Amino acid sequence: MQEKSKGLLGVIVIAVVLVMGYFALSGGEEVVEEVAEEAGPITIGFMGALTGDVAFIGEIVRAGVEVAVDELNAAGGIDGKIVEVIYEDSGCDGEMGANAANKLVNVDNVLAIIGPTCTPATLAAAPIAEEAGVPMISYSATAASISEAGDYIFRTVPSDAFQAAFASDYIYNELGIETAAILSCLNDWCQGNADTFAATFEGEVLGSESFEQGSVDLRSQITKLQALEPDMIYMLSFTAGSIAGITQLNELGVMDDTLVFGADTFGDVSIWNELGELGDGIMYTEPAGIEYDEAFVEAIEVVLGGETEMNTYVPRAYDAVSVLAWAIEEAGLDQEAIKDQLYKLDGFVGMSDTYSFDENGDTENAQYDIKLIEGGKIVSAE
Amino acid sequence: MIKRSAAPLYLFEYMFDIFPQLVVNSLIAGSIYALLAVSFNFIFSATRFFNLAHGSFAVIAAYAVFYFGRELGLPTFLAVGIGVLFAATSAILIDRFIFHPLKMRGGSPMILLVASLGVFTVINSIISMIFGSSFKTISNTIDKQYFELFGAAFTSVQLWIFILSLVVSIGFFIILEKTIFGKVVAAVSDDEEVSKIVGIDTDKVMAKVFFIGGGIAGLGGILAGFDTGVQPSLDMFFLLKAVIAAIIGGIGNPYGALLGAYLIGFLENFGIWVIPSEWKDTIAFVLLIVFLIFRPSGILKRK
Repeated sequence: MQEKSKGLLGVIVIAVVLVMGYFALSGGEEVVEEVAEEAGPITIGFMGALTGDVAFIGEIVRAGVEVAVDELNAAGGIDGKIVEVIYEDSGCDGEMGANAANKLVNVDNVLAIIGPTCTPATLAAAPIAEEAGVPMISYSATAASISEAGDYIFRTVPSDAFQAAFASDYIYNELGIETAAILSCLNDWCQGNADTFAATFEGEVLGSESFEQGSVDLRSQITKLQALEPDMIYMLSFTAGSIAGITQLNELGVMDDTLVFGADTFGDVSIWNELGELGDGIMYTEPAGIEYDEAFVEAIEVVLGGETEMNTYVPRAYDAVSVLAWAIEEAGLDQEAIKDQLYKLDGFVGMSDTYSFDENGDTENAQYDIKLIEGGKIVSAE
Repeated sequence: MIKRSAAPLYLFEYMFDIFPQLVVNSLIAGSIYALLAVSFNFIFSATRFFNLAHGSFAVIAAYAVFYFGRELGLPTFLAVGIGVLFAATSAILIDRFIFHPLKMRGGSPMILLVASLGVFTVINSIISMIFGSSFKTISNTIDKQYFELFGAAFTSVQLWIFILSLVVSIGFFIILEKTIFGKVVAAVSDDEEVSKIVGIDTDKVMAKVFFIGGGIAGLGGILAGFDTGVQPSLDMFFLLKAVIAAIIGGIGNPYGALLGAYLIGFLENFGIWVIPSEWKDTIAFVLLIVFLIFRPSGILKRK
């Protein structure tokens, strides 16, 4: 037995050495190939929340990117080179974001990255992309802190520095509401918005409560806020927390006399499908300019193999691909040159918006729509 | 940073607004934790290993109710029955085909723990594949009535949660104390080998333990699902609450598990009255650490 296991160990050691040697050698070959392969396809990476809380965004955005790249390739690619996309699931948290970025940057050696979906994933992926000098363009990560995430980090969606400020201005000046309370989840996106709202609201913020992102029992947080009798509650939560939280706001009788106002995570129709009419009267902000033609929706439905609910980020992801293609066409295949080129973006007309990047890689055009829930459906509040 | 209202303001100024509601909130949470903790403790006492798939039984039952009650539109009580049966049956099958064979080959509690981690992951993936990973409600198939008592609001669903949890727990205690089966389980818990020698069919007893334990955990998951909703990732939440409540209450003692569950329910909800609410989920773990250091045997000692 002893002898046998020693022999086995030896075999394993030899196997490991061989495999490592193979990879070391083939790694070397790859460099040679890359130089010789100038005419080969351009590989870009995609990161999105394909599973988890906001998979409703990630899956359709992925289809949108597929449509964008197919169109690009049908028109001859970029400078005659076909574009290939490697899709990675970056979930909605830092760990998955970092894993996806590491794979795309270090294993797949992508030229640039489109994504990720969520702020936590973006903040985790950013240092990895930054260090490797890989330009990264998110289509939906909105936290204000991403502005500082690095030189190579861009986004085709406006920063929340604008969203929560827009909401607080609208609530105070348009709706005439003077006292507010904040109910927010504990992640970068929720807390970023909560902080901005508290800092910009001209009325009084009576109190603020928070909860773990995965938590579905918010009763005691709501009970505390209810005692303060605010005129409105600014609620920042993802799908599970929203469904559970809004149900509990109803059960505790808060929604009878208090406005609940949210941000763009409330754009998930599954929240309102689950809640039925419990959500009626709730309002939220969403990045404006959700314009797209029917052909785009049809193309996406072909990819997804069925009907789908468009969301505001899909055209923005399509535009992220167009913006990237423009930068590569202008600057060539050098990643630093692509980054520099992206900063020159000025008045680029995309499908859903007109884009100019400022010195933080943020889009300068920040318009929002106010949405309202009525009869279990999302309608425009204007 | 957000301006936070100071704690004393909550404590005194709003005392009468908040107190009754916090009691209700605590009872709802405690009732759900109780079923999970009591059943976890039961299976642990008999098998002597940490079954990490315990929360999965609860999730299986909740999704069965979601499917039969909401998708197929069966009457609620029937769907709940099917859900409990699903959880109980899957618990038996998992024991029969995974835990039992491993034990027969001399697998230590550590090996069983690792195997249960595998079961946990597989069940989570299967449920995500069938139903998707998004959060779903199951209570909108029933009409809720709203009640108010001393200024505390609650629904008929929550009243049911409280009553069912209490009735099932007490019924379970009676079975343990008053029936032959209860004595047999106690004997097997005490020493499986000796029980075998004196002629107890321990395999059969284990199957029953998993059936009952899985069923009670399933009911806990169903009630949680009715209260808020279901999501595959809730398995870990269920497991953690069950384990912590059982350890705090005194592992191996069924009454302790019940006590521990309500203690966590109350401390979580009353705790954030005085400390910021972002600490809510941390409270149970702090309690666990305090107990492990100062009173590792839990509130009630093992019987």
